[in-house]
Amino acid sequence: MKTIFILLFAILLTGCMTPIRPWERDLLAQQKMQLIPDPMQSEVSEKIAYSKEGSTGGLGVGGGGCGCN
Amino acid sequence: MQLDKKRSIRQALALATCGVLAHGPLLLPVSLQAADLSWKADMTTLRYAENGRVSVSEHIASFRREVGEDEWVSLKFSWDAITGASANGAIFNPPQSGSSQTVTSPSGISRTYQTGQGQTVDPLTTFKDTRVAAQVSNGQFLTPTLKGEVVGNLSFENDYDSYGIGGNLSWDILQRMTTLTGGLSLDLDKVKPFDGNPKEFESIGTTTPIRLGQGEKRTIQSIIGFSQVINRKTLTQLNYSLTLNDGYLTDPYKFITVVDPALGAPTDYLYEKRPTSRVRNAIFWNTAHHFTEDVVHFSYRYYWDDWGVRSHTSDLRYRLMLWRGHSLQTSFRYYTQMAADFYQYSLPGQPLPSSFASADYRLGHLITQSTGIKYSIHMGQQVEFSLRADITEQSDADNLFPSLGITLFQATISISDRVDYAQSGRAPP
Amino acid sequence: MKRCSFLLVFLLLAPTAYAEKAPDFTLQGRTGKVRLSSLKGRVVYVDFWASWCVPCRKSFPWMNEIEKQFGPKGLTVIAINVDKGGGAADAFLKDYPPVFKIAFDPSGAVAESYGVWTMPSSYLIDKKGNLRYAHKGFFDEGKDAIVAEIVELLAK
Repeated sequence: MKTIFILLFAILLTGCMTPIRPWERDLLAQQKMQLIPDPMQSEVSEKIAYSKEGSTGGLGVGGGGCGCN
Repeated sequence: MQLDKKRSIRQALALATCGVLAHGPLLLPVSLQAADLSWKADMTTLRYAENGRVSVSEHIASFRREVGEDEWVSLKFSWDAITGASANGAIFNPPQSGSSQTVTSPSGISRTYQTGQGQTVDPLTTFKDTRVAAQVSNGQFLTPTLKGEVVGNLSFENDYDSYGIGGNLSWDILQRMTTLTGGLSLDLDKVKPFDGNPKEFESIGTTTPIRLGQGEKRTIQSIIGFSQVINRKTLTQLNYSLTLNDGYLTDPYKFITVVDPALGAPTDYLYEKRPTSRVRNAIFWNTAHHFTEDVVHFSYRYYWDDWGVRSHTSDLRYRLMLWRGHSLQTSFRYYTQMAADFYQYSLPGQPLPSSFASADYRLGHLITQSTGIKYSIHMGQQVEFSLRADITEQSDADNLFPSLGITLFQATISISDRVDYAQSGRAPP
Repeated sequence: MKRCSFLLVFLLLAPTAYAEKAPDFTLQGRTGKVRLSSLKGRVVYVDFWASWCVPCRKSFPWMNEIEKQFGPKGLTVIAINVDKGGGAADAFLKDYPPVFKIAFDPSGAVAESYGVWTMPSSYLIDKKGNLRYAHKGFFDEGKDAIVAEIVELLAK
């Protein structure tokens, strides 16, 4: 538990220290770089895992992307 | 956004140059041109087969369209057919003497069980089921940095219906380096096997079975998380989800065997019993990293609930970009699960009415390993086609039941109105 | 990593109107160099775009319109591309052929000097070379306001 919060804080800290420029979001804008790059595959995999195993949850909407407008 | 205030640029320019500017530009309501609205369609078909058990074929079609400058609607339909048999928790032994009792399985197919001394039961329950589901969602940008979405779900199959609604919000902050996300969904499921739900812990061979009609299951799922851009090539996300289940959570097709310790043979088969509530937690960490051409995704999830189930899920996917927009993705998934408190392979005698027991292997001590590959090609700038094969082995960490092999084949096609100019690849050799 | 802090403070107050010298630039265009200082006496509309920027696909046809409409009246449109090479910008320009000037800023130095906050961003420079208006993003309902600003600057 504690390690997760430390990790969380560290991630936030690194983000604050080096903001990237809006024109440098070319790689982040690509579909394959999204947190869920292929929704059809994710949906099928999640459903199979949910049916065959005892766990659920975790996957949600994401950020990143081109940051346009 | 303000659809009523949209106006054509030609009219505005004409008015402006005519010097109407002194009174301010006139606001003429003109609807957005249909050509300005982009859309995306995805279709996938898959074939899932367990070794000697269940086979599923599923088809999903999804369509998303912009309906305003910052608003979109999407529709998704899926239908699948499931056939085969799945383990029901009964332990099979050679028959001895005893009377016979016919028990109907969920799809209406009859099987005969020997009851009395030397109980035997088919350890597999056959299924033949079709499912149809639909999902509709509407999303929009409430402000340039705040995105909201509402979702509605419906699913129907022979013995199970599900209704759900949900919503989520996504907020970009700190120069769009950080995104805060939150979601909530509510689901109502109706569990309605062929002849009603069985009474828990009742013997399956009883001559006067008690049937309890329909069961209802209510679910509330909430998720909060944040994603952070680390640098130009790295994006990471951390989510926490809390799911609450309430109602009928028992599987009406699963049994638990009573094995007499002295005889070492099954003496009875009972319907299983699970608690009527479940609190489930998951922490999910997901990272994407770009190597300028290739991309790697790694995720880890830790799950725990109040039934005693705990699991670790690790998933690694590496997408290797080949020439001319072709790519090959390899994936590995490793899953370990600790059993539920009331999970038992068999019972030593009749259980206490206040207790819970289940022999459902899905609540047991599991290790699942998957390996997959996916080949994708771009056909033009707007179409992507991919073929995927995945092999999974699900095994019992206690070695009490044999491992299960699963193969999956999936074909997907995505067509977008929006051209992806970035799909470059390595130069041909 | 150094921020053009003075300009940035102004940009944070959007929509932004101010009067200060627009940073000069000399960039490679499609046919020769594009230099801002050589356009003194004309109103200049500078737009920062990229092939991966989706709202830019709507801004290009509109920029063609204003170039055709106001070009003869003294407007010059310059669209500065910030792609890091790879031919994506050329593929984009094939689908959205511009009648206005295109300049290439792959290092992002000019975008930095203008304090670009989001993609796309556009700036209006008056005939004296002063930076007058800045717009973050491209929105359909903002088009008329920009046209009004162009007309205002052309009239000066």
